[in-house]
Amino acid sequence: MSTLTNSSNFQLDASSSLDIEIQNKINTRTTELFDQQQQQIFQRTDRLFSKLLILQWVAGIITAIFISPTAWTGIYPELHIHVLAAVFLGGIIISLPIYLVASQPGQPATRHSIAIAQMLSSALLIHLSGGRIETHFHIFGSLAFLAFYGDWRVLITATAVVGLDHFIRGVYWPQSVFGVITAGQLRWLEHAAWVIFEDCFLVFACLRSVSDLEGMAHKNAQLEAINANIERKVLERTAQLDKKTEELAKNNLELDKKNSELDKNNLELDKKNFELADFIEQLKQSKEEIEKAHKDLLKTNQELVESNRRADRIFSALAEALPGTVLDEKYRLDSKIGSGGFGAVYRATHLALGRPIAVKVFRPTEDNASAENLERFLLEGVSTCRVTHPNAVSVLDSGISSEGIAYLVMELLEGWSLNSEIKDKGKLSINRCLDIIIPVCDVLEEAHRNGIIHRDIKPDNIFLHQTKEGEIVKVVDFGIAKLVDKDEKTPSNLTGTGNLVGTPTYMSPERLSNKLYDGRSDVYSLGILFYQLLAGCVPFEEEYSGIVGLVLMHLKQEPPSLRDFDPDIPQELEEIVMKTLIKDPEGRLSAAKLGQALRDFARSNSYTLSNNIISLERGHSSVNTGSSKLPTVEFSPKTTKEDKISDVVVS
Amino acid sequence: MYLLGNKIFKILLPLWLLAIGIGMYFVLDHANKAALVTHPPVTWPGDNNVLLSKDKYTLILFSHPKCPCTRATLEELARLMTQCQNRLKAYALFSKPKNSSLDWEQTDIWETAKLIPDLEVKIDLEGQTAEKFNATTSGQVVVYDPQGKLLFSGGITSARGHAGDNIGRSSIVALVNTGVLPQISTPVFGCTLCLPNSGKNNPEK
Repeated sequence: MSTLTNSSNFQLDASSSLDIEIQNKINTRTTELFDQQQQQIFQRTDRLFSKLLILQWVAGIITAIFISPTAWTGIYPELHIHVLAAVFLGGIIISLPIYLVASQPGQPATRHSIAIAQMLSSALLIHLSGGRIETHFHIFGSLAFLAFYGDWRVLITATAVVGLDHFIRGVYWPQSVFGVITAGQLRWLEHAAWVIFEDCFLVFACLRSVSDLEGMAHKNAQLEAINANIERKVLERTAQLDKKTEELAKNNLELDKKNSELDKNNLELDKKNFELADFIEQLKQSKEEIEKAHKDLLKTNQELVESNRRADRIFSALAEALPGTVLDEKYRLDSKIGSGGFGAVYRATHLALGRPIAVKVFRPTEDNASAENLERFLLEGVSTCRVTHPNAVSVLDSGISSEGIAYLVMELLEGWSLNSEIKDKGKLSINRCLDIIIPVCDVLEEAHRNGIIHRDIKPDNIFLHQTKEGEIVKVVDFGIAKLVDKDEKTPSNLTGTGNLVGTPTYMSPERLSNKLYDGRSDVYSLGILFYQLLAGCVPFEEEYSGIVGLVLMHLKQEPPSLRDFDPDIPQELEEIVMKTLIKDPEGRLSAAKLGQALRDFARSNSYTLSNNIISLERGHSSVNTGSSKLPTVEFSPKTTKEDKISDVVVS
Repeated sequence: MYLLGNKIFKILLPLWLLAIGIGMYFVLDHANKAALVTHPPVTWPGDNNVLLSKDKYTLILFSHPKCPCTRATLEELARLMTQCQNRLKAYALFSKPKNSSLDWEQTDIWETAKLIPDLEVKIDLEGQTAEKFNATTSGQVVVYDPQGKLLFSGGITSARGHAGDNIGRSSIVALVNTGVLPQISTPVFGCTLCLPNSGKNNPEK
């Protein structure tokens, strides 16, 4: 194989894309393939010659039997020695190669023994055929056959046998070979030369054959390398494909799973859609009912307004006539300072103390003249009395005079309602809001602690009482307040008449949906008010959507962000406000927590609260006694007397 | 190591070659062992069924019709006749035993002889003529000149039954064509003729 690696024909191209390692593998594989193919040739040729030798042996026997079966001595025949030679000598000649072909095919010893046997068989056949010149061609044919091995050394062995045969015969039986009794010493070389002459061509053919075989082996090795490379790539691609297929299958499974979930969700969605459709249908029915009720309400209201007008005319006449009247010999009505739905308010004088007070006189009308309304009127006094807080208006007395006039004696407030300030200023500053809302929280905390729900927190019922010491925020009009146990909740329709009492713009969802409610209902109303102070408008406007739309917004819609109206509103403050507007009262702040949150906010954000709030906080323990100290009535120059007094009165 | 690395071959090869050598020796020795030399009469014996030519050399081949070695002799005779053209009168006498069948001599050898041009083929009953020429072996050739003088006696093959160039044929051809005789006697390779006293003077086969 040295000829392979050194041969320029099979030198691996340096510019080949194969690297050194692959080239070495190809060279090694080329050697293997060459050896393998050469071995196959050797074995195949061995088998061929084994058959040929046997055939020649049989042919020699037949030739001997036919040509010279017997020798004669006169008339007496005897077996010819040629027959014996053909059988036994011929058998001996082929015995070793036949054995080696059977036991060691492809080995050098086998083919060299075959070469010797083949040439000796030629000699025997020539002898058996009587030395015919035609039989001599068997030698040359045998050499050509031996060239099938592609091993030039076999030809040398065969040639050596021919030369040795002629040499020995030339020495011992020259006439049998050369036809003369005394041939020349080198005459045998002449015969051998012709054999060598043929050998030259056959050796060349053998070398050429080997070279071709090497070339084929090299090409096969290259093909195998290429095939191996292709197979490797195919395996890699197949592995990648399998992986992708597996991933795809996995994805498909996940997709199927998600599709199943999606189908399930779709079913649930369909179910919810049906439920929503039912709900919408119910809403439509509710809307129709509400609209019908609203129409009835409008009609009733119209009748009520008409009735009120008539009552107003009567009561106005009465009210105008009341100044100078002394109630129960304790309170002298001095002048009317305002009037409202439940009656009129008079500046009065506490005769015993000589101090100015405010007296609210119950106005009996066709609609409210019932015992229930009278009871409600008196309840305001009771409720307010139970809220002993400096920021709640103080009710000093109540009763029904001997003339049958129901009245309520309250402290006389000076100033204006928060509604008036909103109308003047639109939205208020954060600090101003805190100054107003925190006291209201305190009042509501106190009221709720005492089992009282105001139920009508709105700007009209927040009075900004102006004193010499400064402004004091007053929560007024407990006229529709509800007395309940501390932990009790009450449905909104327990006003006695079954009517919804309050102002829808500020009313909580639980009250609007006729569910149980507690003090957090007031917090919701206060949250609406707080929102209004900061934004300049309430979150849900009735004027755009009507009473039904307003109710639905309270029930379902989240309020717009305060920062949409004023980006300077701190996030923290907005979150506090929004916690008061949570639909579910369970998640809503209580009045106490709201007040505390606002105080914390003010403190952390360096807002300075009103001195009155601080002083009131400090003096809250003495409120009960302090509240009896009635303030002096003085009206603000910014508003008319009628306006401000009317703020005190709840319509 | 190419061949000698094979132990079995190393052992069997000498034994094998020895056996072949012995066998070849016997075969070749038999093929090259000539018959006993006999001396034909130096002058043409009279009273026989072969006539001496008066203007040509007369050649007589004594043969056994069933001797396989005679095929090679006839082959050489055919070449000789071709080389000598019409300058030679040739006879092939096939000895035939007494009381043998009529076609006893009708073998392929007989037929081959008849095909050789200018060769007169005759039966030598009981080898009577052969006995007169003192010929005992098939393949023996004698050549007399027109005056009846013996010029050559011997075989015209190089070995038993082996055709090919040989000194006997080439001597006769030289004699006939040039008058020069390189060798007057050569070994004779063949079977014993059928003679009147067949079996008494058998040559070694």
